[in-house]
Amino acid sequence: MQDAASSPPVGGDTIKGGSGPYHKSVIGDLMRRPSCFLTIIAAVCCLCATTALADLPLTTSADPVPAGIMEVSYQRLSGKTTRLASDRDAGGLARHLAKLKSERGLTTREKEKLLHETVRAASALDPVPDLRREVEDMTAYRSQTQALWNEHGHTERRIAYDIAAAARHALRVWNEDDARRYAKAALDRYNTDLIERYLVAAETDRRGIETAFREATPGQLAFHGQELEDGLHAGKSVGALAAIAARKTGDVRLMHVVLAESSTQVALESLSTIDAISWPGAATALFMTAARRPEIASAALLGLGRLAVSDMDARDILLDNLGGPNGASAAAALGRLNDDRVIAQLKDVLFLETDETRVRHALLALRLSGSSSAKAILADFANQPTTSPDLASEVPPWLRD
Amino acid sequence: MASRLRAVSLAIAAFLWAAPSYPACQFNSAGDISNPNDPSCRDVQLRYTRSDDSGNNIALGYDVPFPVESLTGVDGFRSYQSLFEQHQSLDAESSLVSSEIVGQTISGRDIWAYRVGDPDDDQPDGSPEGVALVNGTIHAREWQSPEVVTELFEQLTETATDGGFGQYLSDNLDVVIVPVLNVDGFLQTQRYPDRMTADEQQPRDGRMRRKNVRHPTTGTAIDEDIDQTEDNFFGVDLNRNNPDGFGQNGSSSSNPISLVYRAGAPQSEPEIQALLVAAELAPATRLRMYSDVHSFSQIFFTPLTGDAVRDRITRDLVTRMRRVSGGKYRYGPDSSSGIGLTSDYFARSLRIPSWTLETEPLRGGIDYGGTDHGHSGFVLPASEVARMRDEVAAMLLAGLYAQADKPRLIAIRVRDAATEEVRFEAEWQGTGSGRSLKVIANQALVPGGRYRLWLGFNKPMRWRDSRGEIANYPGQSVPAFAAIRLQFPALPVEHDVTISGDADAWRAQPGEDGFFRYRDDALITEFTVPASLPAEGPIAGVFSISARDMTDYGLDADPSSEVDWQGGRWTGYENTVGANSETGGTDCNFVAFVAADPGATPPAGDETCRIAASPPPVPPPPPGDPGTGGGGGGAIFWMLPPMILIALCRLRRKWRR
Repeated sequence: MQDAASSPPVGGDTIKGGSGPYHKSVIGDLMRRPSCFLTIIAAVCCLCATTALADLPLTTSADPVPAGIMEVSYQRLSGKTTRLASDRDAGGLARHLAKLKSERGLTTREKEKLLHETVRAASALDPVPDLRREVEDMTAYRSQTQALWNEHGHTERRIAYDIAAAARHALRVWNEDDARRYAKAALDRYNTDLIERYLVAAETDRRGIETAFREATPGQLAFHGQELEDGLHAGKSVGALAAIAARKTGDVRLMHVVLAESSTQVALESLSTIDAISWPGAATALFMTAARRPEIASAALLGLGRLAVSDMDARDILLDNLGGPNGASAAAALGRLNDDRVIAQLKDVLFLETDETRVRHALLALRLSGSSSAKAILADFANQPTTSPDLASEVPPWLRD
Repeated sequence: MASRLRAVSLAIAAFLWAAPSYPACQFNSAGDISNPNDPSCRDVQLRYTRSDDSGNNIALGYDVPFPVESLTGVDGFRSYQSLFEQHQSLDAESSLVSSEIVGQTISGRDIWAYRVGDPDDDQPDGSPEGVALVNGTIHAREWQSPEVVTELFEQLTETATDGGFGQYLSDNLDVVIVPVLNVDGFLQTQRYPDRMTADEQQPRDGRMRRKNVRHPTTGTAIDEDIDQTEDNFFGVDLNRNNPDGFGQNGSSSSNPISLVYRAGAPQSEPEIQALLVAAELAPATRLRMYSDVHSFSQIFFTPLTGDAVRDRITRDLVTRMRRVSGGKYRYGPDSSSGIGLTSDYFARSLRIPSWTLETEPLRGGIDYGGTDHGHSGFVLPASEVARMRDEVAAMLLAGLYAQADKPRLIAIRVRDAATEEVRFEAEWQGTGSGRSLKVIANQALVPGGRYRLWLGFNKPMRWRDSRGEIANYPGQSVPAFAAIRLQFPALPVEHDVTISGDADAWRAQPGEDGFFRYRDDALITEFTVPASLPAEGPIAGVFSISARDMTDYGLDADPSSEVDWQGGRWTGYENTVGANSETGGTDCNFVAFVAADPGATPPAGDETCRIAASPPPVPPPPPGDPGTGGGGGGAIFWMLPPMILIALCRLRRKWRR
């Protein structure tokens, strides 16, 4: 770690083994100097300095404040940040932040660490105007303290406390919360324009509205059910809201539309919420809807496998999927069951059916189940004279422990 | 260099040592936690969240990814079980995949390796196939790694019968893939996808476990309970447990609680022993590329061994691979004697191109609009996973293509464009050192005649985009058409004929004058022998053919000796003048003739291209014995910057004028 207070690092000159930035900064500067002789001398010195920099004790600081005093100051100010945050004193934290910016009794490293932790603490408070202003100012802060990052023998310097990034994060959190409050009020009033506002909102605001939906009552959400369903059919990106509404209201039809029409990410996340208890009598059909989308079909069939522990229809669907484009996922789901009745059905596929892809998927299911009965069936299959030579040769390696 | 590396040690540890004291973990100058038994350090439980930065929560600024149950790739990270089932399904569904259990972890879990490629060990012409080894998930918390390696596995398998690029790789290269080497550690990270312990600056165990699960005292596995904190810091860094550079250069530790604890002896860990078994599946003597996939920082950490030729070939290969991502990935050469990485071992002991590939992000979650907190670079947002997977797989595929074999001409055919009659035809036959050029037809080309030239290569030479159009392989820049001339060495150079063509020349269909073995491994074009050519008697006409493959490697100018990787360099990969090379040259082996009389007999003598006949350039000095050179090299290093600057100054004066 190098405190860069007295000699701010220049672009890439801190990166060892890198390329562009070093040459751009150093050579560019030299070319602007008046004398070639001086240029060369400066360059040699610069090269030596770069090397020397790397050999400097890592605790070097340009600040003339004795270490003991620095530590005391740091601890006092850090403690104040903690106290103000726990007291939820946003105004006090704003004043504290303003003072920290001009605090002289700290090294740059300590100051930036304090600013970083104070901005982080601010994100958890309600942003009074002074605090928001102070944090907005920090989004332009250029951190100087760097950390040495050594991975696999390759050392780089990186910003240790990215205060601007922390400030941007705090603003996002606040903006998201503002949007949540707005949406909560709109839900309470049964406003009809909430969904339209969501569609044109920034990503942060959308997050806030989604949070409000999660906190809303089923009755409030049911009010928007039809609009969300129509929106999905029309290709509008309301999937996240629709998924929340469908889950909280138990709206099976809406969940089918979510799984069929929403973005891949929303549909995938929704699959993890489907089970027999939350969706009594509807879970199998919901998974089947999802299984028709290639990008989430595998996840849907594995979800169906969770139902198949007790649902015979689900097992049959999985068995029917063997040999199809999602047969491997169906096989994995059946293999996870590790159930003797399923193993017997898979044996029938092996010995009674001729479609090679289906047979391969049955083999995969048995292989993944890993039970002794499954292994016995695999061994028996490999030894059958009717088994194709390719398959017969592929099976034995699977039986090795 | 070594002293500097010793001084800086891992990550930000030295900073923390110097930082003001505060509760929780303390760090010594080596970057190790100095109070591992202090409850205020080891018992601290940390949790990743999207936006909650309060208490011991660490806000990432985006949703914390949890493992997804899906065999096929999604925008997110798959669970270990799903990944394993996907690997097994690729094996079960394809006769071009075979699998082996290559060892067991400390906890006794199987470690699997998969060999992808046609079952034989030979290329279609009988030459022995090369092998590449791709290792994944040696560090448990680097979830990008198994996703990338699985994507590569999927693409190799799914394209193995595509008639083009994929089938070429399947027929000509064995790829051994170890998707998850550190199974125990990876499972531990997935058990606690948002939890870890200790300190935000050096989070340990749970989602941030890096090492395997070896207990240093008992030798057995530590417990899997993150709340039982006594053993959370234990484990061996498998990527410091290798012989080349073991314990050297300050980047590993003998302290069992260190993140980079190397264990007592190299290759002591069963996971590393399993990797060696995987390397022998090929076998290891056939290896010609090793990639160890990690995250993060977007760089190829590339061991340089001092063997100038091997190092140069490796650098050139990495350069081509980096182009695929538009230069987003960096080149990080390491000229030290190694630090015990697996890539050190393969670079130095097996003398093959070898690197540690750190995938994105460059800095951390901040690259995606998140925060800079708590090692967020190891927690890629789910929404970035599919794109990242595709980008890195494309880079690796470029490397595999380049290392499978070097391009060479296999056959030529010249037809009369009007009558379709074959006037000249020749091809290389046989294998290895027994390969020879067989001329099947050799009738005179007539001045003023129009001819159709067909050339067949040993590999697909051009890429097709998603619309089926000829395009550059992503990031590469190769001319659409080859540089071909019909030279008449007996005549002044102005009589030479330039044979042109465009991207449409590459053959996408089989059949007569179609592609040879793979889509786009052949081209066809037409040319005219000038009517003014002073060729009353027969004169030799040499086809001078310079073609670049998809990754911009030139032709093996002398296919009579097979190209192979031996002793840290290509052998049998000749340039235009017949010298062993690293980038190939111009093929001048096909010699037709021109005569006014169509029934004339070929002229006597061995003609060749003008360029090939010119005196060969002074060969570079032979490479030094690896590891023994270097004396005095430092002087050159120190002299270079002033020399460059003198040159720049002179340039500057010139500009001013």
